[in-house]
Amino acid sequence: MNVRDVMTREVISVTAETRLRELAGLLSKSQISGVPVVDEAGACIGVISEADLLVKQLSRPVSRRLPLEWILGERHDPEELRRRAATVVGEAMSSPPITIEPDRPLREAASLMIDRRVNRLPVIEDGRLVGILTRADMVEAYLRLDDDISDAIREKVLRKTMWLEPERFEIDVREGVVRISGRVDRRTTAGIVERLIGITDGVVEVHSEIAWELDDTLVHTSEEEHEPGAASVTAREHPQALHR
Amino acid sequence: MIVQTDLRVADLMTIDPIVVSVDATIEEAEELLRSNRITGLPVVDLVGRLVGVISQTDLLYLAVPSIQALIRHHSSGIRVGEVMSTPPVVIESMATIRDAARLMNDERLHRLVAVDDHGRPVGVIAAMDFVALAAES
Repeated sequence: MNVRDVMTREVISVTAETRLRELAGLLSKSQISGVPVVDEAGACIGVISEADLLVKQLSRPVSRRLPLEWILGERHDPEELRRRAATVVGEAMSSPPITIEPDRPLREAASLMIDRRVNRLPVIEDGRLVGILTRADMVEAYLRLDDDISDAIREKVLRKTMWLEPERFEIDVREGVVRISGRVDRRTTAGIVERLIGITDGVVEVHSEIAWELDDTLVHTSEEEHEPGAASVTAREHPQALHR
Repeated sequence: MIVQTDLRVADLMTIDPIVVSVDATIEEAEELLRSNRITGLPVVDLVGRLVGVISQTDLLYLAVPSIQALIRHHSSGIRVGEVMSTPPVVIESMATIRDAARLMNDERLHRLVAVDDHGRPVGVIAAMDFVALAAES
């Protein structure tokens, strides 16, 4: 999965001139914890978040508290002092922003968020802000993984490759573990379906309970093979999982 | 992408999380968040039971001008218990992380707290843990 597949496209952004009070209201109303800061051309010049606002806000008596902190030897870099005095976004934002391009793998974006200790990455394409990737998007991506696997099995494996109707199968995917049941004509078909699912992206394990009408792996001499009931019993006793 | 099988909340959560007392001041909570570089904390009562969660979002709410006017009238400072989100959204340590992801997604939360039989927080699973998971995959 790439950043593009997961990012939030409708980005709320602010400008460097947006007042911090206004920003607090915007974050609160939109239920988001940070926004990219853009210039007139739509280029991303920074990011401002709740954390940046909290540096300066609350009832913190800055004038009273600061001298004490100096005495106690607490360090204050000029950057933080500047932010505490800020009234507009441009003075309090983190800049330059840590950004990512839409065609980068999600894994790389995740590493960047961890390494640079940021909670969001503006997504930039050709110098313009095209989306934002947040922690919540990553949670959603985790959930979507199983849905994507399930779709791939239905469409790519069953319908397009095997010419089988996906509606005739029960498919359950949890954290990459696929459980499938249904019925096909031949034992070899069931085997191929299992193997194709096994090599589908993201699949870690397949538990197949696909029953077959005819065991075409046997020489056709005995009459039992033609009994569907017996065949389905065989199917359920078929080895449960193919491990990759 | 490699998907890990059957991961439980207990496998991914931060154990023995930093907590804050319900009667701590909001400045203390803010300091804990800042010094630990985290965005939210479980809030516990006097016997250590989970009663809420306080996050940057809850603190930021105080920055809204109408609320700020209120703060100035407060003589003794605001306590965590007054601004925390409650009731807290909890998850079983033995739930799958998929359940956790689903709950976080549905409730639009960045963290869930796992509690023991006595209601005491034993861990926190955060959206950032899913970022870390994606980074490792």
